[in-house]
Amino acid sequence: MTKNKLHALIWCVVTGLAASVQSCVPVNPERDTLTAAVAISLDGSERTLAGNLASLGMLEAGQGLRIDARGDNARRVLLLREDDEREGVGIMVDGALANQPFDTVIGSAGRHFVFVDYDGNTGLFAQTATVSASLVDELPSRSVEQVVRVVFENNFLTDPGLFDPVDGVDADRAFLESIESVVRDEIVSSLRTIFADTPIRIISENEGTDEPLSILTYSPQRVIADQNDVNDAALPPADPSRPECQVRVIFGEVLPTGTEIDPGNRIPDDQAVVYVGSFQGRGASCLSSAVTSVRSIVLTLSQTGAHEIGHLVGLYHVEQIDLMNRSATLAFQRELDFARGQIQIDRLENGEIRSEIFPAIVQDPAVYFESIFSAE
Amino acid sequence: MTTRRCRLICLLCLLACVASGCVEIVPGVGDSAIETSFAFTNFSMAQYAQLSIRRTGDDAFVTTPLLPPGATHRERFLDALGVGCPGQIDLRVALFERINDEVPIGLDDGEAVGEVPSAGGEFLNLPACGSVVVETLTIVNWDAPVGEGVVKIGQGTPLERVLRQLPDFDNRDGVWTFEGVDDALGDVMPEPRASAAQINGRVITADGTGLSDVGVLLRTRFRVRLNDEDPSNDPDAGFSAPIALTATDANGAFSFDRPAGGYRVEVFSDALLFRPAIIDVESPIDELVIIAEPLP
Repeated sequence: MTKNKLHALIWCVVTGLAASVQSCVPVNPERDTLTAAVAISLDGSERTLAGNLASLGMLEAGQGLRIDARGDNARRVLLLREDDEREGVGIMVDGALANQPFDTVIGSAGRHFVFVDYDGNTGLFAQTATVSASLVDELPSRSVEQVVRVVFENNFLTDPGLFDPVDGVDADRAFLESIESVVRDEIVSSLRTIFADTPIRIISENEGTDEPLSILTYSPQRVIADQNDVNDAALPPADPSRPECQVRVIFGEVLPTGTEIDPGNRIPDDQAVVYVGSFQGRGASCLSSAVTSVRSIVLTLSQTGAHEIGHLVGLYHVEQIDLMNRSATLAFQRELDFARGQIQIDRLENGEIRSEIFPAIVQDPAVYFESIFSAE
Repeated sequence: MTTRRCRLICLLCLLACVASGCVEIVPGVGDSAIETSFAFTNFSMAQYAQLSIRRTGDDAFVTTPLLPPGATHRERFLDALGVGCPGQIDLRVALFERINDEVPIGLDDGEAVGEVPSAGGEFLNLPACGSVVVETLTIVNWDAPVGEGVVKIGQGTPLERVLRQLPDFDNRDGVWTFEGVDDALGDVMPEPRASAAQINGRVITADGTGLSDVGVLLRTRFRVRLNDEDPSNDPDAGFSAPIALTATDANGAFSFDRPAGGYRVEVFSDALLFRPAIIDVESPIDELVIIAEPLP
């Protein structure tokens, strides 16, 4: 191992363990509590909502509910239940795309809220929607599980994959080719471990199922981010002293491009992709922590895959160090969890990507999965 | 003030925050609405450490398990203190000497330590989320002579810059130091040792075949000083002497039971080359895969 690589390795451990992670994301002070939510009645009548939050009042477990939120700039609608742990905080229990009604079943009794998520370019003054809610007798059926097939494209590690286009030699390519089968098996195994206690079932390319399934593809491509991309692309610059390495790439995304999230897991056969080539190192100055060992390769690619699967079933980014942190899968070389966190929404405003934390909206995958999947 | 004017001001505040790079909610001592965590890490080579923590103004401290060298305890403030991100915190760090210090830690059954601290310090009113919000507030016990404590807080974050302005952190490394045992820690006893979290791995050939009888050893991470680039005072940081040793089984598998933390795993054999032979990890590790090939 060269001294540079050793330093890089040590740097990873030190920064991953000993250095704190700074919260660099603005907090919207108007959205740090549910108390400002506008109350709406459950009679199906439309109310105009100026802002994000509407209160539905107390709802009982087992009740069926239809929600319809519409607006030119509205893109997603989330159903929240008042959190057990903190006052003024709502925990995400379901969701759907905006501008179409959706039905849901209340999983646990409590005060419920509707959160409307607007397009990124929507200024505060244009954040308006009409919201209606009504109780329904016919309960929607929910699936027991979500099956995800993991697919690997040919030469996903070498074409270009993780092959260094600057310093790579034939022996490096041959090594990557030799471990392709091991890496493939380990990624599937790792994903199964990550989702072991959830309703998400990981299957390999060779396994069949009669259920609708999502597909996660590992592509060898290296994908340069477009200036307007706000998906799992743009890591903030890690080291401004090496501008040659500050290339914004897309590590993975829900397809088709721009979809970002399937709130409420309403689409059981959607797809996502991990771009393996985006993790490659490029020469001595642009080393990649992803390629220091098979373990690093598997950890990075499997956790990025898990992150994209999270989006496929409706999980948002969170600010906390977690599988759904937008940069965690590359920045942290340790095994991460799906845990409770406050959602973070990335927006493109005037050509700049802006992330914003919503302190009043908590995403807890365990609670969310229990709510959107049927227990039977 | 009308709602629209209020919104406009809020918007301007946000834009200013974004322009400044990193954003704080409200400077001061108040708690933050963001839910954050703390991580207490023991980077001593030989001493065991425990942290007691409370929100300033609260009565009771919450104490972590006793951490062996290399170990880390991570916890959400909400779980530990009942608050998402405390404005100020009070800390107590207590260090304990090993009894059987001639035995490698991983072979020391029970890992007994002294009943009273060899060193212990208390820091009250430490700025936290009231000044700067960091996702994980790191509190790291560095290696120091017996009877002394060196603690680095918030390394590499804006909080570090805030702390360096305090008299207690106005030193070369920006660390909090203490000698002996603060009176406030006079009756502190060692907590139960942190529970083990496995480091699992396999040594295999490129076609996936497990290789047996490969030696595997484990070292713990340590740190003495901040600057690791000055060769005149090495080592500033590194890995300890081996604390545990094992060999792969018939399937090429190995396992160590140590508390979660920072470790170095090394594999060795007279007949094999490894890619790589040394891996630095943050445990727990579900599976560490090491590729081996015969020596030419």
